[in-house]
Amino acid sequence: MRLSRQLLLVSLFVLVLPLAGINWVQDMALTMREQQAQVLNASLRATAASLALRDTLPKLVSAEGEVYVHPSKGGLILDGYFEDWQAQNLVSRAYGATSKGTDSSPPVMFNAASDGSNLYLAFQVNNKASSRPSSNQENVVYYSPVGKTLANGDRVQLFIKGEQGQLQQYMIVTEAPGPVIARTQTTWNGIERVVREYRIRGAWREIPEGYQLELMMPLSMAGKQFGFRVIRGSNESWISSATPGSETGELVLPDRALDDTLKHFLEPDMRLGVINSAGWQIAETGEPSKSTKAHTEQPVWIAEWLFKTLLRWDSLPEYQAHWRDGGWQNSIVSEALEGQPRYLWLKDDKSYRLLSAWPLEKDGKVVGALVAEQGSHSLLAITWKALNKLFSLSFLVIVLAAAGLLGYASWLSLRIRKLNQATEDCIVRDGRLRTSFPVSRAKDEIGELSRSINTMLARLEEHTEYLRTLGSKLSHELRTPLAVVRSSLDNLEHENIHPQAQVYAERAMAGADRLGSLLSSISEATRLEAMIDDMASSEKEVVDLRQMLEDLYHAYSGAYPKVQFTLELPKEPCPVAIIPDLVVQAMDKLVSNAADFCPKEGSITLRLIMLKHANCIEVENDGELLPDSMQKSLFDSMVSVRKTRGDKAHLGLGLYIVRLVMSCHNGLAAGKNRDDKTGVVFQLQFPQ
Amino acid sequence: MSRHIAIVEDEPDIAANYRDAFQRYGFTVSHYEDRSSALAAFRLQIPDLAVIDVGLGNEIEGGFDLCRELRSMAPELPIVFLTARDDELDVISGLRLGADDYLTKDISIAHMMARVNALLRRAELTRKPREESDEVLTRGELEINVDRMTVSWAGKDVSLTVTEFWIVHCLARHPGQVRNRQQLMDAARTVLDNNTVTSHIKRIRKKFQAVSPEFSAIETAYGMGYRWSAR
Repeated sequence: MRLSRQLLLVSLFVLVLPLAGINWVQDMALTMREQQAQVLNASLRATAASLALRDTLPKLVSAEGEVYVHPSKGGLILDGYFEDWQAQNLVSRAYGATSKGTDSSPPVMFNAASDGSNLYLAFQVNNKASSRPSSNQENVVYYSPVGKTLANGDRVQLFIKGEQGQLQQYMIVTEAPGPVIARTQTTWNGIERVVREYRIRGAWREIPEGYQLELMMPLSMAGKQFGFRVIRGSNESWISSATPGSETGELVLPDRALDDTLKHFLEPDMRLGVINSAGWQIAETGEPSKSTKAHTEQPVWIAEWLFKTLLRWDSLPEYQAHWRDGGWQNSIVSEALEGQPRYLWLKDDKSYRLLSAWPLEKDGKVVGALVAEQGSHSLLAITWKALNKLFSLSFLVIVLAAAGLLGYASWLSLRIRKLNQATEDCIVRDGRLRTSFPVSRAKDEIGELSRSINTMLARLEEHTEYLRTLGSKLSHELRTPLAVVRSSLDNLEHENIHPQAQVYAERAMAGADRLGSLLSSISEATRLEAMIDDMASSEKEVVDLRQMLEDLYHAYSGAYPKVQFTLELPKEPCPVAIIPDLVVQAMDKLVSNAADFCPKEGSITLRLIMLKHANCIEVENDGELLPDSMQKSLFDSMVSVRKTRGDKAHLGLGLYIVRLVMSCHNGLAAGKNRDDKTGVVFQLQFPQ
Repeated sequence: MSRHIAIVEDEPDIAANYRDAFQRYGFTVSHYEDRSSALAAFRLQIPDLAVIDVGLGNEIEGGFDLCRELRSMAPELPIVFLTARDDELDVISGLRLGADDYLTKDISIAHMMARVNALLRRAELTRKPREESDEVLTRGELEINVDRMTVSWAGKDVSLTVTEFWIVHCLARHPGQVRNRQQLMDAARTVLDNNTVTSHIKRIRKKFQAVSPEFSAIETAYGMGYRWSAR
């Protein structure tokens, strides 16, 4: 892996940065949530105290058979249709057991509302709910005047208990759908008679499942306790609002005075209400706006997801519509009725609500609770803002850090690459230094590396130089003792010595000669280099390679009679600027090599090829192949691929000399095996 | 009167061998081990020929210095360098100092003697006026006085060392005939490797070209050797 990529990977560690920030925002948000709850609780406590002072606390009610009356803005029309009720979000309550196994609506849906002057009642009776679906009986049984007085047909009975405790009963019966008037049975002078109560009137409408009944009466008539019975005419069974054994329960009316009082304590984005000890909401004010401003600047989805997950919004309980149906019995708020303040965060679609309840106490008894709901606008806004800022800041930091690291890495790797390139440029294949090494003055490790490479190269050069001159030094040093031997032997010839000794003297002379030629060939390369240096610049002359090769062919044919030479020449002359002496010397080496390796009756081909970019002399011979491993180092000094030692000294300098000659001509020397593996081709290329 | 040869050589064995050889041929030999003693002796008496080693004791190029001083004392004195060093550069600087020949130490004593005799003869003849009886070889512009070992081209003298003279003589004797390196070496009574022959030829050409820039009488026969142009 490249250095820059490695560093880029390392730079990913910057990503832990936002984690710390997120943790902080999380803490902050939780603290703020807590704080908001505390503030709201404090406000509730003050409100509660204030309500107690004003003596507007709700009365203690029993939670049995009570009938809850919704506050209404008015405008309910007595027509037997309930769309107007639904329009005002008045939620009806179910009575009677739903028969199991059916998903039909309950037998009786009851709703009550008050607009401050009148009490409205709404019944939806489902006759099919309590009877078997297969029953073939008539849906609605209407009142028959000839039957038992006020006690036949489907009917609704109302029980109203006044302040003094007297119970008043009314019966709503009708002979046909349409307007209805309540009737009551009174004993007047000992005679049972049916009297119509015109203050209680309404509309009866038949629906497929049963009937709907809408009633209205003045609020003043409603009394303190209230109850109803829905009686079926077909089997005289009835469903009552009250607990068994009693006809009525508490009538829970909205307290409009309390509403007005609560308005004083209202804060923005807040809803305030009072529930009585039965858990019914008797006063309510305020309406938190649903569209929150904070949501206009939404963070990116990943931020939002992080926000929700990290701040545990998603784990909050769902918001429930207690405000609407008025019954808080099953909510956590109702726990406040046991005397403990409670608060709770709720999730409502995309916004969050704080719901808080504070018990209202009177004479040591809990008579109700103050309920408040507050939106999370400010909190959300602050956390969004913090989170957004955090994300943008982290993003900036990450980008900067990554860019910085990347830049730094590129710079480093550039330096290392340069160093590498300089090192490679510096050393030619035979180990000599071509150019001086650019030494870095940087004080860091790369600078040190550069300096130590420089030192290393200098030592290498010394060593290479030593090796290079070793040959000539050696030959020089050996020449003096050789001269002693040789001159002594020369003198010995003139002494009168035994013929047997003469033989030894001759052998010694032959050995000295061999030693002498060995020393000469050792220093030959060095001398050739010196000669090339001396000649290279000036003495090139234009020579026809074709003519030269032909001359050489004749010369070699004479010089190596044991080998068959062939010559392949192009038709045109081939003039090239060369130093002929050197090229001939190189050719001598190649042909001498070729002749040595060529088997008996093998042949050597001299060939001149004129290519577009170069002229090429090839010396091709049958015989032993070049080992694959050696093909590259073939032309190096002191490399010999010969397996057998001939009588001549082979120091592996021949091809090295060829290379020297060719490099002096800016040409190339190459050796390879013949494609059919029967011999070897050496090639000298002269660029045009 | 026997000729007096001075050997300046720091290697006693070689010096002794050469001295014995020279004495065998009837020369008087003086041997000096270093530059100062040689110079002191030369001030008293100039020898007929000096054989000088280039490296003398601690003085790596003491021989060159000695040659310079000796040459200034005796311009006609034949001086032969005898050295273990065969670098082209050494050869050139030695010859430039006015040495008459430059021999490597592995030369055989017989070759050495031939050279010394030739040099002495040349020195002797140079002192005498030119005679009609001198054997002269003429090839076009080239004129070789074989006895005096002098060469001239187009009437101008070309100063050659003994080795070079022999090579030129060998080539010019039969113009058009190719002389291979071995033949040239034999003619020059020396053992040289191919490169040295090449550089000798090169030097000879240069010397002729110094006299006549368009000189091209020595031709290269690739792979075989050299020949004197027949034209």
